[in-house]
Amino acid sequence: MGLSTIWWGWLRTDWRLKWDTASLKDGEYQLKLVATDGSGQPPTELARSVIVDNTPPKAEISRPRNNDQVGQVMMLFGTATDANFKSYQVEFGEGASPTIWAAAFTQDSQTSVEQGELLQGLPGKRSGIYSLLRLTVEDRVEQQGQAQVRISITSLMEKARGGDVRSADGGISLYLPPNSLQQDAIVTVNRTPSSAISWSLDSSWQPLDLNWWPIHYG
Amino acid sequence: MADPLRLNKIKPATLTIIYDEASLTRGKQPTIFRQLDNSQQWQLIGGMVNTSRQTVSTAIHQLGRYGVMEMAPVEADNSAQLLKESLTYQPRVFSPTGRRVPNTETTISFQLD
Repeated sequence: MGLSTIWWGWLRTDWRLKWDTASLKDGEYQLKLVATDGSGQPPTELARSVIVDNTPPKAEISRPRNNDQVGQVMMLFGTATDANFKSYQVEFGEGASPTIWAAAFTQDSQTSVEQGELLQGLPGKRSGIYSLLRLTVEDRVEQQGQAQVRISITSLMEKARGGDVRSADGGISLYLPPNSLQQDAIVTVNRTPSSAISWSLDSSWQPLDLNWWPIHYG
Repeated sequence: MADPLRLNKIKPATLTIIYDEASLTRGKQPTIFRQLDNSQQWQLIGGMVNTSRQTVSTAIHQLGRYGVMEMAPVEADNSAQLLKESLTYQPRVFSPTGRRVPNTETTISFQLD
C-alpha cells in the first residue's frame, strides 16, 4: 500500500481536515495522525482504519419490464446490492407520474438481492391502474441507487364475456371469445425482445423482433 | 382439473401480431411459432398474413409464449390431408353483409397432415 501525506502543518485544537476521496479506489485505507512537538520528544501517532466507498448501490429491476402488464400476483425481480449494503425499499404510486409514493414494505429490507426476488405483490387489491415501482437501495454511507418501471395491473377477464387484450404498444392483440377461457382469469400480453430469449442454435428460423407472451393467472 | 392455459377446444382465441415489412427477407413470410414449455424448441403454428395491414393472425388453443419468425412459404403436396379436428373459424358469428352482426368476415384455420 502506498503512503501519502494529506496535510502537513501547525495544528490547533478543534481542528478539522477535509479529505477528498473522489480520486481514490474504493477500499480500506489507514489514516495516521503524527504529532511532533518542538522539544525533540519522539512523535505520537494515532491510526484509524476507514473504508472509502464512492460507488452508489446497484438497483436494477429485471422483471416486470417497463410497460408490462401484470396481474395481482406480481413478483418483482432484480438486484439490490452494494459492497456496504444497508437496505432497500420498493415504493409504488398511481399514474404515470405519481406525486405520492407508498412503501411496499413496512420496514426496509436489510437483505441484499442479486438477480432474485425483490417483492411478492403489492399490498391491497389493485386493478385497472397504472403504477410505478421505484426501487431504492441505500448503502451505509447514505448513497442511493434507484430503478423504476411502469406497469399496468390488469383486471380479471370474465370467462362468459371474453374480450380483447392488447400489448402496451398495440402491436399484439389477443381476442378471446366468450367461454374460451376455462375460468375467469387475468390475461396479459407482453412483448419480449428476441435478444432476451434463448434460441436453439440449430434453428433454421430467424426470429423477428416481435416476441411476446400472454400470461395466465388463475 | 383443467389446464388453465388451455382454451375451450371449439372456441380458440385469435392472435394478431403486427410485423415490419422492412425487416423481412425477400421471399420469406412472417409465421407464428409457439415455444414448447421450458425448452428452446418452437412449434410451427402458421398464420394468415395481411400484407396491407402488415399483420399475421392465427387461432390459438392455449396461452403461452409465441413468436413471429420468418420462413419460406411451405406448399402442401397433393397427398396432404386435412386434420378434421383442427378445422375452426373465428369469429364464429359473422354476417357477410354486416346486417345482423358487426363481423363481416371470419378466419378459417386448419392443419394439414
